[in-house]
Amino acid sequence: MVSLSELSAPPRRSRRPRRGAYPWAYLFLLPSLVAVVTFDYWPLARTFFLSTQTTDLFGLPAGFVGVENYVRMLDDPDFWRTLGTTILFMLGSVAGKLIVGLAIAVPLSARVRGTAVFRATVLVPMAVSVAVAGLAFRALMTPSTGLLDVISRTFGGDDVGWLTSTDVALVSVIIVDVWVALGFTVLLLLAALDAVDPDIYEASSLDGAGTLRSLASITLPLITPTLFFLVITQSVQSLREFTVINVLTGGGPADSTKTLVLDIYDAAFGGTADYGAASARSIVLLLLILTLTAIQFGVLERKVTYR
Amino acid sequence: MKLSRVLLYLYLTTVALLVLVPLLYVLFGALRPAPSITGTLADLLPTGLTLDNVTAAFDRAPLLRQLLNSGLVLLAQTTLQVLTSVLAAYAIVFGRFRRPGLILAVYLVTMMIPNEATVVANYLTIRSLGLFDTVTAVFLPFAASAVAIFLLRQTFLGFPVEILEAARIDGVGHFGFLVRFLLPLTKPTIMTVALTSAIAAWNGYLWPLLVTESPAARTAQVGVRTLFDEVDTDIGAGLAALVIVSIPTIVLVVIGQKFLTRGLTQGAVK
Repeated sequence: MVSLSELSAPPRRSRRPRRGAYPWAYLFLLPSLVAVVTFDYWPLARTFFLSTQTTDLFGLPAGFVGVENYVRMLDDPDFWRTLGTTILFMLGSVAGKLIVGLAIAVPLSARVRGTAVFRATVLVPMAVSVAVAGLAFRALMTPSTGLLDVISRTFGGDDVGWLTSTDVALVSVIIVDVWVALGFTVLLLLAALDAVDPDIYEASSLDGAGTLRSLASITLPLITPTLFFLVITQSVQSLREFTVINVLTGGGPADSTKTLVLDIYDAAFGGTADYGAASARSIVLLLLILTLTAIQFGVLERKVTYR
Repeated sequence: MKLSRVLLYLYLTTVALLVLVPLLYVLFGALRPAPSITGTLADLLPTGLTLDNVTAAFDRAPLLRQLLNSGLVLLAQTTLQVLTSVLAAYAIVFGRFRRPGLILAVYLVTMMIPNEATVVANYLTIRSLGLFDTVTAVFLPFAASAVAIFLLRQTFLGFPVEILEAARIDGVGHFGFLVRFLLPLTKPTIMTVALTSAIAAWNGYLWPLLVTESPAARTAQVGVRTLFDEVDTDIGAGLAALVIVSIPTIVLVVIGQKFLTRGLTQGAVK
């Protein structure tokens, strides 16, 4: 991520006397500026605007209604349920990514021969798309014939209803989300772990610290910046997640995996074409993500470090 | 070998297998003669070898057309992103702007606007441009990339000014300098940008799902999902399609591993 201080850093190439920018420089900026304005800034403004409008079936604003779309949304118990599901998905997914990521990265960071092969293997999930990964897990989670139910029965259990039970489906999509992010999580954690000076471990083992003790008192504190970075970026990522859920459950069964992004999708494209409602929900999503980003900049600027 | 060492290897092997199971399950199922999923533990093993499922996948869906669409999206999106980003980064670094940081910020702010919050408005833009249900609609909104501009700007900043000055004295114009000196010398970053862009283009899902409708305009990712919905009785074709669709990105990741890891960790851990 980019730090704010870099943005305000003084221009480095100012040896010549100032004569204003080259004319060609404006030309060079033009294509990307047009793209950014058309597909980032303009839709952002339009989303705000649409959220204060009722819309006809073509999405054209059909009259100012003020905050009515928001009032309708906040009065809707389904919206609060969706928001709850979104938060649960976010918490479960971030916790899962950190715990599984550490459980894999810490042993992999041991300076032992042969770990290169394992490192490469763990990165493999990065090579397949989220949609493909989701569909692969849909096959694994197919009721009764899918591998996961087969395994469950082998150990004397019942069919679990991975994607069909309202109690389990959210856990299932979280598992898939953790798998999808595994390559990225492990890669970042390994980079942080590899940067820890091995002498520190040697000193602590001379002092009689065991493996768990040095993990808790040395490793984790030293990689706090990376852990924090992962928590924020993956929280944002799970708030934005669409593909995993759409492919696996479509938000079901009985809306038990319907998060905010799926709600936006349903409001706009699920047959009702209620762009006002979809836009109001988009603003909520935007605010949630901006809050997380603000926390990231606020804390990272002060650097999360130990000592 | 010490016991702890043995346990470590045992643990790592188990983890590696668990990570790979979903992919092996799909691969073995795709290559197994019908029924490709037997509903027994034997599904975990490569039993049987046939290309019937691959043929079935191409028969049941316009998969070839959709792969071509995805290829087109990949080429167009990557070319556009590299082109617009190189130009923008060059202007920011060498354009003698009074406040280059401010210009950079205009791009970087877009990284905080989640696409998912603006898809509805963008969808309406695409409709009013008359581009709905076309391949162009899939890549056009991604013509510029803030991350790419940032990465290139960082690299260009590190470029020795002396070379620029020498080239200028020799009468080389800015465009000539960019093409003949800067790009060849900053190739690793260009590769990182191009590969990241190509993989994202091939793997896109939400946006292509929204702006395409007819099977012939779909991309492969969306097409394979539709196929999967239809093949409940013949899941082998669906599994084969998953394998086919994944081959290009697997190849790209394997070839470009070095550049990709660099791009991912760059800036993340300071």
